[in-house]
Amino acid sequence: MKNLIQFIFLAVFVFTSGIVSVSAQTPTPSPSPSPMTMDMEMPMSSPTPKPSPSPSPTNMPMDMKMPMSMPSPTPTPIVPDEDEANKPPIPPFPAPKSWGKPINDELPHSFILADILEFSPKGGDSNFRWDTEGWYGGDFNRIYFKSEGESSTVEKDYSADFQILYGRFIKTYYTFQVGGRVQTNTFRGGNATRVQAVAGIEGLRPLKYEIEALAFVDPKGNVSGRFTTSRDYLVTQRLILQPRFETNLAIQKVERFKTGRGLNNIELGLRLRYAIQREFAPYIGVSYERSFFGTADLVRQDGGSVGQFRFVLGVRMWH
Amino acid sequence: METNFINRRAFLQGIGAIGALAAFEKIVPAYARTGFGTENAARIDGELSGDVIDLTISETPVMIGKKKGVAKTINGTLPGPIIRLKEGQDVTLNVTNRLKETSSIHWHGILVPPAMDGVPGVSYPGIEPGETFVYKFRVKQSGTFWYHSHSPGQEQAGVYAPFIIDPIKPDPFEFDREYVVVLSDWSFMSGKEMISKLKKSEGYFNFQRRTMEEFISNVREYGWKPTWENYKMWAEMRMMPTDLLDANGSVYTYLMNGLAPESNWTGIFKPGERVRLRFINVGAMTFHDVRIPGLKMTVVAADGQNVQPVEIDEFRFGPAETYDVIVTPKEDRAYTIFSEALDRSGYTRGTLAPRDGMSAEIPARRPRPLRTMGSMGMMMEGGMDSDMMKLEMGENMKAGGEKMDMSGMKMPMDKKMEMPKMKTADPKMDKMPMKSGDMKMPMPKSDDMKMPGMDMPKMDMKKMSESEIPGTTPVKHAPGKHGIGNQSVPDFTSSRLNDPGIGLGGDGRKVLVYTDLKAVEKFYDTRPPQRELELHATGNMERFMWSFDGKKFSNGEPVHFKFGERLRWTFVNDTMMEHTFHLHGMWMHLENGHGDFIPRKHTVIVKPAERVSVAITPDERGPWAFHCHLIMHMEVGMFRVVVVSDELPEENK
Repeated sequence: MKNLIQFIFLAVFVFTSGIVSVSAQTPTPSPSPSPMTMDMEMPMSSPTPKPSPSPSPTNMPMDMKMPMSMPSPTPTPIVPDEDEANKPPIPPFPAPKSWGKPINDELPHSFILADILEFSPKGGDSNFRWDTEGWYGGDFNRIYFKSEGESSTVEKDYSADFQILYGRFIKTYYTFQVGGRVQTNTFRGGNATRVQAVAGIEGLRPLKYEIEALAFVDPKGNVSGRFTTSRDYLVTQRLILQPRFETNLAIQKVERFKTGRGLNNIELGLRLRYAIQREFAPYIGVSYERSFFGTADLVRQDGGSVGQFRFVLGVRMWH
Repeated sequence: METNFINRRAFLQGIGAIGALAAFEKIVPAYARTGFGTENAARIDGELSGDVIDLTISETPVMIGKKKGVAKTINGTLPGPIIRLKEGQDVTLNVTNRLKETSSIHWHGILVPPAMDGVPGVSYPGIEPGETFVYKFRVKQSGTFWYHSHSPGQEQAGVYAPFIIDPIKPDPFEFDREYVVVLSDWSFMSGKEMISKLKKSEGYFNFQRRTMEEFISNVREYGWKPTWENYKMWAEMRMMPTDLLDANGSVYTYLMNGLAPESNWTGIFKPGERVRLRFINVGAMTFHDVRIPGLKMTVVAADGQNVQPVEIDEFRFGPAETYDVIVTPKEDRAYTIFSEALDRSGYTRGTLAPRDGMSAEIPARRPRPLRTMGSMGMMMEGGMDSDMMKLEMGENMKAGGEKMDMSGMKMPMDKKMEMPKMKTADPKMDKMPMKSGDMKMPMPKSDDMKMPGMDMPKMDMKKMSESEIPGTTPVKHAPGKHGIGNQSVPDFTSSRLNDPGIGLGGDGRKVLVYTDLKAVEKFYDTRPPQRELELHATGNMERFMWSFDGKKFSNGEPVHFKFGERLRWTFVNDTMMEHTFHLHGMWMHLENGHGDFIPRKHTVIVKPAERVSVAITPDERGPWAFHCHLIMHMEVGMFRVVVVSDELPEENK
């Protein structure tokens, strides 16, 4: 092997320094369809591809020097090209639409996530709660669906909201969302329902906090807002701790929906899930909710408690 | 002609060996495809040659390890049959599609007329179900190549196979026996589904993330502050330092010649024989680190092109690259061919043995490395925070990487520069027109470059054997971040062709680097580049978006080459993942400092924050595909059409 390497180096040196000329059996390679004989006759010709009809090598810059000491730019035996006649026609560019695209980079995807889907046992106050979100679309434009709410498992009371939004990817980590929301509450047989316009943003903050900030306006001009943030901490690859914070705010008091002015409530949650699969993770956790100010007064009026501590059992799922 | 004879004999012996192996495999109930207790795979037990070759793409049940799956195959085997042709011959390949969807075959690295290149939507419409497409071309080269489907999801599903071309003039090295070693990544999940998971859940397949457990052990080892700062910094960037491969051993079974590690593909040798191994990485998403404990490998060809022999212990290759190595096992024992995924999440192995049924020890996998700020081209204010680097360095040394951060960001004059290639710039280069303003051809001044052994007698000689590597001096990224489709840009990028890559090079093994590759023969065109283009690899990993210059294929513009020009194309990797860029239809001459002997490649790795320049002579007119060969990066947008025409459009001049 050593000898071989030496031989190669020697051969290379000999070639490059132009001491010997290359044997005639190695025609100058040319990517052009020009006949071989021509190449053989002009081994000193420019190594530029000789495009047959139009472009000429004459537009090469003049400073392009070919070391003339080199008899042939390459000693490789290169196979002559196919005859022009045998060459299939060059495919058109742009390609006909009927050919399709080479890749499907605009394929839409669909996503549905139940971030919270849980039961909270608390005697007569036991309830079921959900916070779900989904989307359909491509990288930049998506249709979002969201629903959040809770329902007593003892009484017939519930409160729920449903949103349909258009989402536009506007910043590296953020989606702008705009659309409509239906909010409906049933408490002791009385129902209150309203429609609201929604605008907001969803994304990932530095330090990897997922955030969602939405503002709602109803036809009467009542403005409220919700802010949610959560973060995943990996205890192990599959055991994940998720602290979660949610707060509701309102500018006007809307008694039917039990919202006072200013800060309505905050909720702190801590859920520990085990991801059997990434898509399926049962969890246990705790959640503490507290109402403030005018909202707290409304809650008290109804005989509710201003601060609630709950133990929860649930599953986080997505598809 | 003597050597030719020897080579011919070697070739026949090689075939004999493959034949014998095939015969053994058939002891297990034939058509092992559905046989029980064995893996189906059509091992490479047959070669197709001659002037007319028929190929059929169809769905085939397979056994991978002990699990059943359905592959898309060529002629019913996984990998498909070896096509073996002779340089200079004319060949007709009839490809029939028996799938329920459009299919295609692309001849990877093989120079063919554009209509024969096999990229649906660029070369032709593809092959509809039930149809046969006739490929006809002249084989104008020799070496180790492969062929595969260029239709979504089909390559990963099994539509790949080796394509070997024997040279007219014998190769400048000798061997007694040869094997093709195809490394692939098999998934029971379809490529489409995998992309969908990644789009919805960042790092879906990464089960090697940093956890609280690791945090605690890092605190114990490196102290509170370095650990906290490192974790905090990554969280601030909204990225993961464990983001090494998008899809890895958690979803893939890595195969060697279609066999899972437990099925142990075996190549037979007689002690003392020189065995040529033609390694082909057909993996959809996997960088493989290959070594054969106990044997030195002599690399003799890269991407099918002969190179001056380099003796190494290990090499990394990305999807679509090939290396031919020669090993000479002297002992009468088994040797393991061991291939680890870059992120160490999985491996495959095979065996070189004097007799069948033998196996050698399977080495332990090394710990996964970590991405470092430096390797991503992030320049810290006032130099690197040494505390933070402590953790990065420590973890990467454990993983087998280099002690120092080899980014070249911090110390442009570190040990890489000792290599005798940072030369006074070639005078011809001075006249090269610069295209974009931010681009800078680093022209180190000669007094900066006082290094031993750099005296060369004549300019002419220098140009032939050595040249400057473009981008050796770090280049500052131009303002702008390529839009929202790109997460971030490195502060600086530089050429790191002699950096073996993350997790390699620090454990005493000689690992192949791109600067080792030196062509045996010159290409016909050795002009210095007259025109420069720059292309940035971009991506948003949070949404699994991959693109060039921030624009995926559907939003991007084609790239124009002028027929007959010599141009320099510089790839700048603004992402934190490695990519392999593949240009169809013409060679890319990797500008790695070897003057006229820079190697030809069809696929080049570009590491995070790296800039790699290739010289190109567009010598075949037509539309050609250019893309990242990490198939999922390609399918979500890292793709462009390169148009070679006689005149450049006005705006591209």
